[in-house]
Amino acid sequence: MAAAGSSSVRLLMPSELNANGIDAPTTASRLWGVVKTWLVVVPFFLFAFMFLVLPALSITVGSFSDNDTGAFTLANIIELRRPSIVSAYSVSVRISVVTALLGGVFGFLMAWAVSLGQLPRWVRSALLTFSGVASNFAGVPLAFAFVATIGRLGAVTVLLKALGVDLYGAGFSLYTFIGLCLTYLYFQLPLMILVITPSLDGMKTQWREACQSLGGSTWQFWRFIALPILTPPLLGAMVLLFGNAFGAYATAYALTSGQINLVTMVIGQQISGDALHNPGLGNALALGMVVIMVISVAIYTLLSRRSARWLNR
Amino acid sequence: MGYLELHNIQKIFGTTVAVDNFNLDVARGEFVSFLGASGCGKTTTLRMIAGFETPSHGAIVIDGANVLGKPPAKRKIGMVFQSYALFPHMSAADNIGFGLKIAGKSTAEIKQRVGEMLELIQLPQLAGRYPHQMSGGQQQRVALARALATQPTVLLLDEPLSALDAKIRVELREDIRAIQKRLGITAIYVTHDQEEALSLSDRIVVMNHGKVEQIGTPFEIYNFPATQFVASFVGTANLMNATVVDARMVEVDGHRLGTHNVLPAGPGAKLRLTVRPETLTLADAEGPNVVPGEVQTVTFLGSVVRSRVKIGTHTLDIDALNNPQHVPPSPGDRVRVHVPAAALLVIG
Amino acid sequence: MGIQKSTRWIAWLWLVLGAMYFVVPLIATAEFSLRAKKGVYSLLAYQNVFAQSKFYESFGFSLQMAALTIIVGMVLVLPTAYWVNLKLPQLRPVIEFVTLLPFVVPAVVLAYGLIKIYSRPPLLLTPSPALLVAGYVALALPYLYRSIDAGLRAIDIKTLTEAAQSLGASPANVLFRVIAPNLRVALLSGAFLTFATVIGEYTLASLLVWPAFAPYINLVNSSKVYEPSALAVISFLLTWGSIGLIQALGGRRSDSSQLAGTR
Repeated sequence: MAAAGSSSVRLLMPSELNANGIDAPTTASRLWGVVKTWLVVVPFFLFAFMFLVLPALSITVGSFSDNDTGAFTLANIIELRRPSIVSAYSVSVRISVVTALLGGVFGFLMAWAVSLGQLPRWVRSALLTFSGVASNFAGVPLAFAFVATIGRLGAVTVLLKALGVDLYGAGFSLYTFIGLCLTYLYFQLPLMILVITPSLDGMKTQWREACQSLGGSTWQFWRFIALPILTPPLLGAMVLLFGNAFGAYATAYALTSGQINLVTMVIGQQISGDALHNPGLGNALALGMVVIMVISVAIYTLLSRRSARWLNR
Repeated sequence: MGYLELHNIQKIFGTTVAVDNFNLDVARGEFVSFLGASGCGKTTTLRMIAGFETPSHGAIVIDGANVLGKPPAKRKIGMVFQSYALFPHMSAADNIGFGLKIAGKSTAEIKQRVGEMLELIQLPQLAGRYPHQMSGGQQQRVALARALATQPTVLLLDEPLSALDAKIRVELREDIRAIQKRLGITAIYVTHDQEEALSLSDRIVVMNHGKVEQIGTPFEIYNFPATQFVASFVGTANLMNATVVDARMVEVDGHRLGTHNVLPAGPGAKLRLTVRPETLTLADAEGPNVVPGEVQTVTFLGSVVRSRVKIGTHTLDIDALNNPQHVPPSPGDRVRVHVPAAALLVIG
Repeated sequence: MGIQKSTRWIAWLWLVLGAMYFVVPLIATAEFSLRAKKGVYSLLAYQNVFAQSKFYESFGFSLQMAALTIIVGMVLVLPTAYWVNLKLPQLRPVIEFVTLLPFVVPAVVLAYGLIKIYSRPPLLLTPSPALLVAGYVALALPYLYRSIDAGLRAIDIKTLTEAAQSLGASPANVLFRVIAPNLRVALLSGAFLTFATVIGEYTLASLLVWPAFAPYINLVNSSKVYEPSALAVISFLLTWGSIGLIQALGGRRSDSSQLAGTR
């Protein structure tokens, strides 16, 4: 320690602290400090591990395990080529693609209307609020709502019949692929609106004005400026919609009681009654679903990172 | 007849009059600045010339043709924005060539013109770079090149330097002026920075709350401000309340001051006068137009020494060029201030 | 200025078309639910619904589940989010990954995995509603975390924490007395979103076989005609109420962070 009045002051080495009456952090206490820091987040990660990671891992492992011996096998994956399963994947993919495209396009148009289309503020507020609600109004109540609308005795069906259009007579049914698509759109559209609106808000008005000042028409603005800039977020959003529809269970179940052949339905049947008589195959099915979702999320993340650079400055 | 004419332009938003009674004739190749504080209507007027706003009343004529009703795309204008507004997904070269691409020019022609423009802004190496890879100053240069590539009739600049650092601002504004002179293009420049306006313009339009306060050359605006607003907004102004004594004499706080010009009012009338700090000097002896006062503060600004002197009810700023041989006064000193007759201006 | 009249007409067109698509099913459902009594509009279906004890049982059950989910979720997320923001920013990518997991593992697959692991000793959890709560928390994790994280990033937690510590507060005190009160909006938003999700959740509840509200509604469908639509209306009003409250609290963000729930 520097003596009082002395003109030389020196920094003490850590090892000298104790000798000079200063409490030094020991290695042990420093270690405990680190542990304490990390201890706080342990419950969260433990939970995530137990109830998210472990199930996913277990399914993965189970997909590659033989049902009887538990040895590594690709048989389960190969079994996915069963016609009924391929068909389930096909239908699921088709419904997801269709609702992603339709929801994407019409959602984009509505989001455009309230942002760049410059409709009044209250309209935009109302639409965004409603989208927040409607995107959560899925599953059982939604199915019933559509039954009440375009089911056999639904209000719109009856109305159209009175106007001379016989929906069910012409072969339409709510309980088919098309009906399910229409129903899915009810939460796909709002999801699109919510996801794409920030990107539309990020379109600077000056880009439009700069384009105009350079002689560009509206069509040229969209062709050379707006659409190229908006394509990554648009695609990303549609991929998100795809994943959203692919994983949907409750709506389809409530509407068709599991009669339409979707991957989620098959997995559900496997849970409630071992329909496949093959737990390994069930795992493979679930794994297949996870793989598709992982790809969707990865593409979406990549695309949104790309678009953030242009639209968030 | 000017190249760009604005006749009785008025713009009303709801119940607010944003621009009122705006008249201006701009000659071909002239550089005119709209100078004023935020909300004074300068940007609104610029946007009306561009076509992004429509005047509530009045006419705008460019090169003999009335442009009212013409959309911006058809007005052959070039616009530079405060936020650069470069298209983020296009390289500098593509940005610059965009207007030509719209006009349907051939690839070869576009390439040549873009090359010329890049030379003009002295950034040929940035051709393939994207906006997010360029600094603010570089982006604004590219934006300028983009606006000029199509050879517009009028160049409109909306506070182009406000988003840039101080040092870059000075560099870039000189370049803008040099390019404008070289191309001989008519330019309208909106700014709230008087130094920019004074150093760049052939003429300045000073605006306040939608109204034109004064139009004139920088020299005129600074040395002969027409209103109190112009006197205070451009440079520093000392304001004094005076009473008229006779045709060329006023009384300020009991002191008699002679003026150069004939006063516009009769004896006894109250006038508002202004005098620039750099025209006042600290005198040694008594004499005509010399008044006594007490130094309040002295600020050393580097090249200028500003003394604040209390004279009666007024406090005047006196600017003197820094002179190492000459010690500035100290607060509390009793001094004499010489107010040259020619420097006294009536503004109200 | 800024936009032509014709463009505005097109904008209105799309909006109105979309609005019709959204509103018509709601009106049809409401209308259908009023038709229980032949020939007149009445609230008979609703009366029947509220007369069923099973309605209260299942709704009560879901309410309890919701409360538990919110509590467990908050207890897990709040300290973690606070700590990551304050001391462990390097964990952020890991957290992002974790919050992406529920997207990648949809409810159906989660149910499958949970049953697979926890239906056999030594980890026998399936008989306990704790597993359902765990599943709900897992599904709500992304939204809860994002909501609270956004709230934390909006306030300067570093300075607040240091100020509180300099006044002698322990870390727990800092979190509960200083930070949490400033997160009122984020916490309430997260709570209401979780509430709406759990009340409406069907997949986990039915596959793990619990008498929750949504499975009850589905059950009613097999025996009654008008009551299901009455329940759908009630369900919608509940969801609307919760989300509406979030918006009213100022949680007005137009992004996907307000999406939860069963599909």
